[in-house]
Amino acid sequence: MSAIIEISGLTKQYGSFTALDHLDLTIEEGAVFGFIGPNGAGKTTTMRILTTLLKPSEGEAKIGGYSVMTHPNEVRRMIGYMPDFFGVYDDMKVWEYLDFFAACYDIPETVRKGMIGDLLDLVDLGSKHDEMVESLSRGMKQRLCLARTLAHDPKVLILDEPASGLDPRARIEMRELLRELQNMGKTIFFSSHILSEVADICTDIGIMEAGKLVAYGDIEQMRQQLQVSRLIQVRMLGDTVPLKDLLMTHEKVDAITDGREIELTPDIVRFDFTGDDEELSQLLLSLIEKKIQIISFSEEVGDLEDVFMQATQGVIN
Amino acid sequence: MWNFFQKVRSNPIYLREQGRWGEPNQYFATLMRYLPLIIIVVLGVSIFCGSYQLTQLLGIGEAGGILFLLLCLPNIVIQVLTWIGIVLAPALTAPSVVEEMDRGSWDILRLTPMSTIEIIVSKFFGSLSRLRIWRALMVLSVLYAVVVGLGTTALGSAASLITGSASGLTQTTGWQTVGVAVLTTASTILRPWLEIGFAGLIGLTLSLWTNSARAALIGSYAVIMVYRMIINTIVWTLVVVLFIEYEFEAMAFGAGAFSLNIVYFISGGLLFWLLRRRALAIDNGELLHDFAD
Repeated sequence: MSAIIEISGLTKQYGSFTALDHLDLTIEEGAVFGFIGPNGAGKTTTMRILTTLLKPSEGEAKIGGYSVMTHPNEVRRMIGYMPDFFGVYDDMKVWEYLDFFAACYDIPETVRKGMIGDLLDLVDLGSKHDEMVESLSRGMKQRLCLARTLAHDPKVLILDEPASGLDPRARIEMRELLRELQNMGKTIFFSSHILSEVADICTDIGIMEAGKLVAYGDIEQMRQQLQVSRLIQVRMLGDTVPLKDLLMTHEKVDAITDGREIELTPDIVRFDFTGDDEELSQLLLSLIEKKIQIISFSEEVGDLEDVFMQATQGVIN
Repeated sequence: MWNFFQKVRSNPIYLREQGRWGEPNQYFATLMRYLPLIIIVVLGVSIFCGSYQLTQLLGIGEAGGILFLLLCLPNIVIQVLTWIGIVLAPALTAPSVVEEMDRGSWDILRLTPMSTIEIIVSKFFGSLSRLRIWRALMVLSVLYAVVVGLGTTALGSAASLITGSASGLTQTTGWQTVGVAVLTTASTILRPWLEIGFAGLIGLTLSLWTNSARAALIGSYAVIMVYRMIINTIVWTLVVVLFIEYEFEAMAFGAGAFSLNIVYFISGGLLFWLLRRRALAIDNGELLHDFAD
């Protein structure tokens, strides 16, 4: 896989205010990249620069090898952008909306008719072909906007909060649609506040805070990168005191909690572990050697929220 | 130039403004519902303030007045069409950009392979092309210009035949007559186009500087009215002072009328320059302080 988005030292300043601070990022072709961070972190600024809508103060960004600064037209043909404010024309029919934008991308009229049908089927709006855009629900408008971004068959989709304001069903539909687009080979770069969704469909994640990229990679890599502790749960027979005493002596164990304290059964003990897999297995071995009657020993998989909380400090620009 | 217009005419944004895809402009649609009323008002004002007052001034009686009115009919129609254009042009152009920004589609348009200035120019010509007055205006203004030009050169002055020595135009001779003819002919043909185009440009300019279509529209009418009052007053005062004072009365009419064309042309050029600067500023991201996220 080759890199399709390359960002190096990207900076955007508004007077003395730094919206984006020397961002470096590489995204492989076919990846689904989730861009998360609190409001004011610089996500939209990054996206606007990538889409050629905004010029950076410093640094370089390339899409498909074309610089957003020097070859904006080539970049525009390569990307499909859906802003968070999705901007549809209520005075048009659904097919007219797609026809107009396809015409803007110089797609011949003879090609457009068939293409519109395909796009509407893809976003599950085939039955709405002749309806007015204003009669569509928010979720449908969002999908129509996504269909518009696909009109010129771009390689890269840049989506700003594609699931924002959608009800749960519409969110699931949007997620399925993004999966389908990924299967079609599109590279998807999207921002979201809904961490579970990002974790669900992304191959890579970037966490922004105060204009800086504070973490980058897949969730596992980031957890290692950020040294997020692993939550281990042990269930045992008998009194838990000897287990807790043993754990307290281990240098990589922290925050030992009894099951009763966290509304679980009294035979459970939970603790944070900062070591790697090798050290964890050593710990288990030592517990068994000490005749601790373990029924189960498992790692509670930390989610993106843990990584996010660890990576960010609540700094707001 | 021809290629440029051909390119603009096939631009999807031009076609969208024309109404090929949906109805892009609710303000224009609303104004069109009141078009008969606008025509009656403009026609009445034109007749009352123009020809009727002139017949009174010239003292040519009722029959003469009717004849004069008939002679002036093409000009009256041109004036009516021009005023309709001036009223409707800002309604077409003022909402064109600001509404795109308001609904969030402006950025999407900018991401098409068109430059911002291309989008703006297409919007300008596309929206003005919805005025169904251009062909009639062209035919009438050329017809009237020919009448005025021929009348001035061949007969010395059409007015002089009717009014005897009442007008300074009777004193025209030689190059002055030709000069007056050329200036009035050019002025007659160009003025309606320049005035309507200028009104449209004011609307478009304000559309890029305001954040609401209503503000852009009301602002456009205000600017056009004030501008017309100031410019007409200044130009005609200068013409009267410069020419009548120096006893070149005949040239005063032609030069005065043509001077206004030059003023409109220069003002339009300045507005276009401002629009271009604004478009470049948008392209450079100098206007969008959207660092909220």
